[in-house]
Amino acid sequence: MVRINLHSILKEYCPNKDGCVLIEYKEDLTVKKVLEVLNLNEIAGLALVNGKVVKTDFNVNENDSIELFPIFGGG
Amino acid sequence: MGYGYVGKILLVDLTISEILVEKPAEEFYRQYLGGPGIGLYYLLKNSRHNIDPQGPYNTMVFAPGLLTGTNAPSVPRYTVLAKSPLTGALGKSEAGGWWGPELKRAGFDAIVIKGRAPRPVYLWIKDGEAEIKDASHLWGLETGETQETIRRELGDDKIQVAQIGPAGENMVRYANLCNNLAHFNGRNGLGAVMGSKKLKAIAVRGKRPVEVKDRAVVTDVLRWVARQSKIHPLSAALHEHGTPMGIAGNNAGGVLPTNNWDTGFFNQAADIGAEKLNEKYLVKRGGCFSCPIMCKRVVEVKDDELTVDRKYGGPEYEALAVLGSNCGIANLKLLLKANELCNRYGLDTITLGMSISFAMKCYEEGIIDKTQTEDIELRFGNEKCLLPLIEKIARRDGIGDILADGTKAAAAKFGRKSEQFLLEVKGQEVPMHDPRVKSGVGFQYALAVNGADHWFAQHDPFFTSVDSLGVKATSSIGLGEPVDAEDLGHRKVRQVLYTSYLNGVYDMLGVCVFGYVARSITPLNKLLTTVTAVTGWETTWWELLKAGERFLAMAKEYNACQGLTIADDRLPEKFHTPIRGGPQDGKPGLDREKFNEAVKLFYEMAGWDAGTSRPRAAKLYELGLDWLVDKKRLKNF
Repeated sequence: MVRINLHSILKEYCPNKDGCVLIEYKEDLTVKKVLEVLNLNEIAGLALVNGKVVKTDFNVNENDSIELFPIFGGG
Repeated sequence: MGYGYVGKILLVDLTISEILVEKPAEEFYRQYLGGPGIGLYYLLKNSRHNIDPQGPYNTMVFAPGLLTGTNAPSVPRYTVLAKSPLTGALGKSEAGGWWGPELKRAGFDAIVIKGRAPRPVYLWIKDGEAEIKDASHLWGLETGETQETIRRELGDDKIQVAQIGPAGENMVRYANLCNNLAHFNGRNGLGAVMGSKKLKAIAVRGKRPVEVKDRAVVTDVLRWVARQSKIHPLSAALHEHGTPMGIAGNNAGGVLPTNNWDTGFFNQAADIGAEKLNEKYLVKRGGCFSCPIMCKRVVEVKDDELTVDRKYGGPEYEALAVLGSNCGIANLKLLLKANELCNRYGLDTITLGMSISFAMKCYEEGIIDKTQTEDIELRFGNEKCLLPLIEKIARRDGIGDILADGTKAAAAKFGRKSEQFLLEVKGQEVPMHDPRVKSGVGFQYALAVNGADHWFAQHDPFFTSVDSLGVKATSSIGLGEPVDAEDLGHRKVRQVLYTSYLNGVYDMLGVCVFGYVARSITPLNKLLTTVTAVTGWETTWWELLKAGERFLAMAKEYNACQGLTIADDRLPEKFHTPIRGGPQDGKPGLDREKFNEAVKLFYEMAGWDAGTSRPRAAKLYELGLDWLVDKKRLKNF
């Protein structure tokens, strides 16, 4: 399994109130694919895997922990 | 009488108390639209070269957008322009709220102000008439009292007041203007220009609706935006959390400026973010004229320690970051008070916060000490120094007098290599976005005509993949290919160039970026429909983007006349060095050589001559700016 924590407004897209989602690990799972599964590829702006900032082509492994934050600019 | 535009420009000479009205033809509005288009036309027509920013020849223009005052969604804005006392370059700042629409309803597309009044005055504009009134009883008052007094003495609580606070009167170089106490023409120190003219306020009241050609079509667009704004995540987030939502994400990404940008990770970021704000101090979500998004924060604090009055609105991301993490301060209540003081005295929060953090850095490094700060311990995280410093700066008292001129001037006074801690472009301090993860923002900082500015063009994250909202939204204007956030090549340069034209058009129309793509929801085709429905012009995005390009060329010409060159279009050294600390520790800075080559490429793409730092004659002719061509220097035309 891969654990994903959704932050800020992304929590609204979470079936659980605590903003935490578990998805099954598959081979060649990238952050981009995770975003597609969760339907967040338009509005997720930052991804951290095990505490490190990564790009969407990053390969996710079994038991990895992912933090997702919404896209942000300006203000 | 026009559609969208009114057809009248108010010309005010404060030196001789003369008021005239100019009535340009429709062609003028089609070329220059409104906002900074009209503004730069009058700036360039009046006086051009090497103007003293605090002298009587610094022409100042207040210009709402072409659509401002109509029932179109999220177009409440007006631009104020003059030479900036902070940068010595074009000063240009927009504000929302209600003043811009009221000026159009009062019968004017713009106010052009020349000269300097012999004593404090304010302008009173009502239903097509204007007069200069004595303001000696208002001079020295905070913004709240000034607005109240003007409304009371003129007998109408619906009067809209654009004004400066005590900071503008004292010509703090980053003094701002406000309307409705919570909407600001924040940057570039335009409040100081107004202060130098002894102009305290412009009060406006207008009962005539702005005419539009096809109201039903405009109403349709408004309805679409009102419906979508509640559903779409971008607009819903702006409404729910406002811009303070950026604190958590930027911190998680290690790019929340902390301790004068020493690092990008603040341990107590959770204490100053949107969730805390909503939970403890948010009392209302405010907005602007004709905007369904309502992104503004309204906060209130009422306890034994502090009170914060809700009439002054609330903080944006920039204020929370620049006065919070950037100064090492985690006390949200205190930050709200600091923000309130800025709004009462009329100070740009970004330059103010950066001036304080710069002074803190100098103090920590032993460059200045207690003897120079009236015993104030200017250390990162020292909450006790924040409010007293803001008071001192607004009043130009002691250390406040030095910091009131901004960080570049302070570094010159402090000496001892303090300039290594500066983060400014053209003399204006950078906002709270780190170019090392967004190269486009870096280009914005370097190339923006009015100094480091984070809305000169659009932000990179919206354009990085085929799914990106920005890519989908701007493919119709040729930006349908994603570009990596850190790209320094020709594709990024083109993206910055085209979106700078787009943002230019937005300003000329009165559009707020929080209502339109790529930062928010309303797409380009709906904006085009709106322009046609308002004006009756069968226009296109080609024509509109050319207008944006026209504004940019005029701004470039203005800056060249003030002595600015391509050498001024550079980034602070910090952004060419690695990020230190936090989750992106060690991430390299932007390659200096590639960056500077890209700046040169921007000039070429834009049709500007890097040698003279002005638009080439051919570009000026193409844009219909033949009146700006210096025929004495031309050989072939």
